[in-house]
Amino acid sequence: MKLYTDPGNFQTLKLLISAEIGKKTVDIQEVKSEDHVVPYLSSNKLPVLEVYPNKYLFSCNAAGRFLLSQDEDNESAVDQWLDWESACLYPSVFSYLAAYANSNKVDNELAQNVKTLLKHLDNELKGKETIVGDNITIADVALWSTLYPLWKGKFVLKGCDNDFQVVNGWFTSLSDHPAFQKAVSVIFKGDDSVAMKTSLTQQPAPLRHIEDSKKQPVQKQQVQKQTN
Amino acid sequence: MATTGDTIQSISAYLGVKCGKITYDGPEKIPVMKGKTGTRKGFTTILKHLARAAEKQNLIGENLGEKAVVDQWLEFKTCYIDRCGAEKDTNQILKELNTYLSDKVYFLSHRVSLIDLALYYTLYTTIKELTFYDKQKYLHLSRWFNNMQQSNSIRQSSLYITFSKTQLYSGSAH
Repeated sequence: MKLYTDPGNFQTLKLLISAEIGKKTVDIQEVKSEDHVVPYLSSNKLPVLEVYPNKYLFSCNAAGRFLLSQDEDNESAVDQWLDWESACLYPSVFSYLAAYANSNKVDNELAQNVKTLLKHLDNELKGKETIVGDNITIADVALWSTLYPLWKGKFVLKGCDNDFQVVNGWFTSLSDHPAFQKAVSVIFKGDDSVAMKTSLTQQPAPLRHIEDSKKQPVQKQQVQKQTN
Repeated sequence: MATTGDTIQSISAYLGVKCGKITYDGPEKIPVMKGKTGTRKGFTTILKHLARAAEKQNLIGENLGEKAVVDQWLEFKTCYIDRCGAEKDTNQILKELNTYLSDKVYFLSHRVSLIDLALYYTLYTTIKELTFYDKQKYLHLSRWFNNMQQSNSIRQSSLYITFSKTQLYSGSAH
């Protein structure tokens, strides 16, 4: 299997952690952030898993779940967390990170959006070691990977560890897992914030809900305007 | 484009299971279904739950590879198709789906899955409004849609959409 990714792409953590825990061998093909991989899509969104020649998985959560290859005790609960991660958390976190990478400063409103979601996660994780059941599932891997840049590196969301102590405990405990550590070392090669900045500014922003995005423009052009 | 709630209702009718009223949660308008076995949130979550309740597991995919494809396109519906505002974006999506379907009968190659059902109901109005010229331009998508609507249990009470069997325009379309 081939895994196409640009350097410093935090979403690739989902696939690498899953492959490591699921004991799958993936051949990493490094491409540029603006490269198109999936022939039928117009978007340059990365990473992409090529399961076999010309069969692509462009959703990181679906690809991660495939690589992890688990028997899930409660599939529906896993579905629900992946729904939330892809529809709410990831678009919100990406907007915050991309605005930060573009302008070099924190956009308070975007940071607040992320904090509202972290509050929800904090409540849901109370008394639990993993988000669904007793073992690490793709739901933990997906949430942890998306939160990684808020906790570590150049674009951290200050105060997160203190304000959301339950999430912080869960995040820290997963951070000690060898599969998570290995994935970080492959993607970020030490503290490579330059590669991460390139990825954040070149990768397409996930779309926001239409009503929401009218109030809260997050498209690239608008983000760049703030820089000027 | 059909609302998410309408799409879920149509699929629930197709499956022959009850889903009750769909409400929406939060600024992202996440669909919520309250049932006897608890509350479920999210488009993919609700659809897969309904398919399991109807004991039609094959609609979710019969192995990990198929399941991943189903998950991926249902996510694409929520995070991409639903969030496209302008007509230009809709055309982009139709073009992408058309290219994807160029060598397949259905999204999971040779049999109907939740993806086909979800996209059939979501895109019904959009396809209905296409001109014959556009239907020819999106040849593979049109063929897929026409295949889907041959089943009465899928089409339900919706009007049959006409596709021309003969090529109307030549040259510029390809």
